[in-house]
Amino acid sequence: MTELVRTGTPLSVLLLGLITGVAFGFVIFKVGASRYDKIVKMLLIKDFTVLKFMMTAVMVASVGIFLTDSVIYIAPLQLMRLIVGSLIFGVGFALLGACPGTVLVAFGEGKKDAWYGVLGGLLGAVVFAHVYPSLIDILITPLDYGKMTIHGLFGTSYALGVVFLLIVFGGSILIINKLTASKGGTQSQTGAKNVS
Amino acid sequence: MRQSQIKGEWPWHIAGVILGLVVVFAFITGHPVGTATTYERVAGHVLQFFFPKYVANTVHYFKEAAPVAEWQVMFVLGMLLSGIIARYFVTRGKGEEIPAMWAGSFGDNKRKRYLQALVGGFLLLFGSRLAGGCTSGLFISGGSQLAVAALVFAGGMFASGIVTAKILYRGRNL
Repeated sequence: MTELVRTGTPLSVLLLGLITGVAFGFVIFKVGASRYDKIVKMLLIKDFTVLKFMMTAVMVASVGIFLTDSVIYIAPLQLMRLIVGSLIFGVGFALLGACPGTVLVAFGEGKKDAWYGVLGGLLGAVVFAHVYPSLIDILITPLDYGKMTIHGLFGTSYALGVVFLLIVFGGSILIINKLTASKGGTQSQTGAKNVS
Repeated sequence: MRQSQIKGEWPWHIAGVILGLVVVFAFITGHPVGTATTYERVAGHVLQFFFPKYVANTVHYFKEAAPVAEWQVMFVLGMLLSGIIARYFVTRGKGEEIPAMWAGSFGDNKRKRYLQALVGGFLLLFGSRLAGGCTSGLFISGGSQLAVAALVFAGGMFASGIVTAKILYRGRNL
């Protein structure tokens, strides 16, 4: 019998991954991001809970990563693959009503359709691996701008890049709160300050 | 349209701060959060059991997503586990067969919903792998490190996601 799982990773690191995953997934569950209706209502522009949740997380994490100097890897700005990939992703996002991570939480919760979502995801990954070699020249290598960051793009310091992200995301949240509040005080129970 | 915050759910700002701290913890301990690659690793692992030659000859599996267990695979299993914990300790019930909102608009044909979920999952992961990440890997990890790729990805996924959702629910009562 061959070994079931090949791993060159120490047990402590594997355990760390598991614990981090449980914490990450539990927050997703607790905010309701593993719910079909939350995701689809966001895409129908009716409920911004998950969007504001994600933007808040990125804001906090960007500051934390900056302060602890723990940048690990900047995804390259390969425009072709990013645009085509994200557009395909969005269609799947709306059909399934979950993203690759949240569908796993939903699966754990026992939601039956999430099972099919995960199965479809595994198939999608297999098909991608199969066609990948033929996509390299048309979708992966063209329009590659390398490891581009916000501060790299504007030619400013890392600190200013973080400030820029905080202003854009924070501003977006404030605008969303203003717009949804004026439609009928939707934020009252989550304690938004801008109820005028 | 009132936004629903179900009893016991955390408000977005508190949950957002906690998730952000979890992400910082992951980075400090040496790993960016991410999910999509694991689908390929797991699928590759299963395939390898049945078709070892095929997997060995599919360059992509070994170059970018070798079928091995590592931090991210455990992270993904952790997410699954969090759902199981939620089910047995928080919701304490069987998961719904199909989403109530979906049933309210499209009827209670389960097969139709499962087929839609299957196709959705397929496109979701195909798109993720093509883009080079998903909501967690590209948007959250990428955005937190100020990668411009994160913003492009977010723009694309919401653009096509909104159009698809609007088409699906056009003329249907919510």
